[in-house]
Amino acid sequence: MDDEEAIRRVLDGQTDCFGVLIEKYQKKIVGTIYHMTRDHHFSEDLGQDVFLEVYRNLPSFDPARGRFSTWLYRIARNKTLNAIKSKKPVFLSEIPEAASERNAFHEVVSEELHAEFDRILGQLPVKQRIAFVWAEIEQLSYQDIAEIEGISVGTVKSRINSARQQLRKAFGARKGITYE
Amino acid sequence: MNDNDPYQSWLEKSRNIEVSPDFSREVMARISGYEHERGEEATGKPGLLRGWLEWISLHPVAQTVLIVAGLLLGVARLVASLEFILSL
Repeated sequence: MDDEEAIRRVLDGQTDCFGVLIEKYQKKIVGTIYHMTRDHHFSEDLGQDVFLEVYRNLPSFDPARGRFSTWLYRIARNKTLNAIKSKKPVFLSEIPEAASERNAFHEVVSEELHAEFDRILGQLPVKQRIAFVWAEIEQLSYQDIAEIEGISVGTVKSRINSARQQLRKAFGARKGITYE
Repeated sequence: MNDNDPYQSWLEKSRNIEVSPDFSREVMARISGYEHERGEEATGKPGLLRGWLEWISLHPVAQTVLIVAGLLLGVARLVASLEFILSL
């Protein structure tokens, strides 16, 4: 069942069909919120709020103005950014620090780098971060991101490249330690 | 950054965020609650009492009538109780 068919059925009173949309998008929505907030429990709660809001506003969704997924991601984006504005200090404190001592050298280095990447991602400006999360982690197309954000594809590329540069810098700084 | 570097492994790890198996069920339960509330509002079941209380709170005459009715009921009950006791 595609999105439009599921939406049509939900609006016809088959509420259960909304489950199809939840199953299809839950991982991307919760994943995006998680990577923006670094709080797993919160990302599930906010993810639920997103789907509930989508359900409530489903009668006002107009397929002629864009795809359902774009509309859904935009709602998730707005809710996430509002949450970040109001809870930023808590989220930043939850970004993991570099890993402590472990047995395997490569595991230590890898975990440290992952923690470093997480930390840098958490410190990126919000607009760069969400563009990066959508493109690199959730693997949305630049065109989709541009539609969600209401910006040009060029701006999306620019934001993602800036984010990549920050991460590359961190990778470069640690590379010598990794492969010496 | 080549395919085997920590950046790629970090991306892979980041893509595998687990969502609780109950997530969908919990959302549907909240939707069900929302629909239930909406249905009640439409049929006016809990809204009837709420509406009546709101109406009372906005009308001092209605409040007075209600208090007087309560007093009369209380007096009537007292009289009935006394009559019953005296008839024993």
